[in-house]
Amino acid sequence: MNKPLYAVFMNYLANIKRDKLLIAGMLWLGLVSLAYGASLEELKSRLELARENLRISETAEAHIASELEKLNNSENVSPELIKDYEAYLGRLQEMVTENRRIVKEMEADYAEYAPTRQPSGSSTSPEAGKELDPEILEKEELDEIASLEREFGDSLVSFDEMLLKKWDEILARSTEKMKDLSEEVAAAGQQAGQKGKEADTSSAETTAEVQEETEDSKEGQIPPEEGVDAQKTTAEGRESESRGEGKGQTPTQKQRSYPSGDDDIVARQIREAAEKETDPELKEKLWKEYEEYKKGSSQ
Amino acid sequence: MVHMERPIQTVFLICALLFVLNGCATYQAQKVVPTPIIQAQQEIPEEELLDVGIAVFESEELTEEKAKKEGTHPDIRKAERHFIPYHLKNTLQQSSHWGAVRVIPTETPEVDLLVIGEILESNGEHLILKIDVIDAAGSTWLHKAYKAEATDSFYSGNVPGQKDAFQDLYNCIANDMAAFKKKLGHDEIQKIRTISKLKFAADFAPDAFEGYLSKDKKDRINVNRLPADDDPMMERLLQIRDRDHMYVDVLNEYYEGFYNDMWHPYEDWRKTNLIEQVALRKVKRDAYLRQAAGALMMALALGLAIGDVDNTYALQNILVFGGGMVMVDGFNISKQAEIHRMAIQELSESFGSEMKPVVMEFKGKEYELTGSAEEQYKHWRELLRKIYYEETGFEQPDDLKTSRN
Repeated sequence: MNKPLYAVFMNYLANIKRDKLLIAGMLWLGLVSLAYGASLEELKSRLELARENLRISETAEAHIASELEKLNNSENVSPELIKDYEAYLGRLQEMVTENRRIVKEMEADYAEYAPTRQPSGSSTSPEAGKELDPEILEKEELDEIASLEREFGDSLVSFDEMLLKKWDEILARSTEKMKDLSEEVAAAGQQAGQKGKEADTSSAETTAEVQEETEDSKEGQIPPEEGVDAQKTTAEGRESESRGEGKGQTPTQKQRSYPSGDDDIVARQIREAAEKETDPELKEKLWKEYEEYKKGSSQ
Repeated sequence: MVHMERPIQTVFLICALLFVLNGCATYQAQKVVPTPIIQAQQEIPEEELLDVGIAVFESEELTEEKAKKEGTHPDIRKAERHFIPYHLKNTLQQSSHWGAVRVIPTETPEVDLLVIGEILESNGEHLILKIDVIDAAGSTWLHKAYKAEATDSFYSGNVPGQKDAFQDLYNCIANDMAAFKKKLGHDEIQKIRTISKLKFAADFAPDAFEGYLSKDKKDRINVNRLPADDDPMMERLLQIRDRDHMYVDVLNEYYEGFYNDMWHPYEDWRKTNLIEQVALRKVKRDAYLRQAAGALMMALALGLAIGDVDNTYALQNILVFGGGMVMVDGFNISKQAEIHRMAIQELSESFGSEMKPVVMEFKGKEYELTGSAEEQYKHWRELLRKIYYEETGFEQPDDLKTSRN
């Protein structure tokens, strides 16, 4: 009664016709090859996805590295911003390393199976047996986790890109504002300068008249060269005064010797506005504000 | 009738007492005196630093009528809810006692130290803030109100991000927080940091991290166990936490832009409002005094007439005439008060409408970013749950099975 299992199986084989056996065998092998093919296709598509992730993270890294380089070369950037960029770049570099590792592992996996793959139909390949190997099944389970991990990694990259885009928008807006502010300051300075010129012209006319009268009264007393020299000196003096470099030096000039390296964003903005300002009065006010701000920040 | 009077008196007294007590219970504001900020004497090591999250401030909904009474405008109050916490952030950063200080859109318990503030009054002359500071372990560091009064001189030499007209008040809060932190030992600081990390983990991956923390009877949080150093789930969560910090940092860039946009017009409004408030009070006082003096003079004239005092007819006439003039003068001054009141209202409405588009643009950007982040966080929560069940081999809950793949 208790026949061995193989005997039952042999008996079964003996009982079915040869052609039926052939069809059954072909069907079985076909299914195995299909499963193997599908698994390999999946592995390939995952590898492609991993490569794409790596490409995205590398692009993001390169983009941020170049942005950071630009910021480092720019004078008007706060150290905080550079620090933030550096931290972000560090995270991207970690991500790139991780993605490279994933791609490498997947390529190794793919190389292990792909070269042995036979054209469809020739499913007699011994490699097909691997699909039934428990190790492979376990690997598939692990692949599910790896797939989720990759999805997680992708979502991190997407989120980083979204944040980066927002960051760029803010930076652009801030730059635009600074530009507007500088233009406003420049326009105000120009207006003030124009008024100053008008005042200068009227005073110069008066001075010329007075000088004429003086020259008339002291004709021949001053050699012409000396007169020219004296005028030149006065002009230089006025010019240097208008630049704030003359005798009447204000705190403005002292501020110029301040190291700009420790300026934060606000200090930098005031400094830039002060540096660009041409109207001495306005310039003075800006430098004063800068000085007060620096005092406040050092307290 | 006599019996009836007593209960009425008693009820009146109880009501008055309750009113006074209620007033006290609402807030006992500490009047702020000139207070320099106390900065850390030496650099604090990174592991001893606590990160601070300042929630966008609360304020009761101001009706037009109430705002008018307070000398402000509902739109200004809306803007102040972001401006004031941002300036507090700047002050805390100046003190160098803290790690990252961020303004956060909502009260999230996953920060080391959470600052919750409420604006009780703000009109350029007075600033009253109610401040609660709670650490991740559930300990309340501060629960008090701060009150400061400004004068005209407070509005000179102010610098955005550095010095505000009410800087003493901000310094006071920063100093109180620093004083509390100073009392904590290394272990307590580490505990707070660990709890905030685990709270974040439990919020994002409750399936994986429930049971790591527990609450005692006083609602204080304790650590039951710690994840392994190389716990992959914790590593993923830390990656998310990094992103969360980055997201809040970007949000803070928006807040900073808004704060800078608001600084000058807000400073101008507060200063002008203060001048008008002071002028209004002075005019009111003058009007009352003159009206009272006029009434007194007329009463005196009446007294003399009734008393039939001899030889005072001329004086009576002078008193009646003079008293009448003084009273009329007082009423005229009252009209001036109305002008000041109108000026305050106009000023507030004008600044409110000036700020409205700025607030709306800023809020739009904030919502856009917050919306994207919330959507992303939802996805991460789902992913982490899936990974957790795949890794552990536990059967997935039904809601996860039906969720998107």
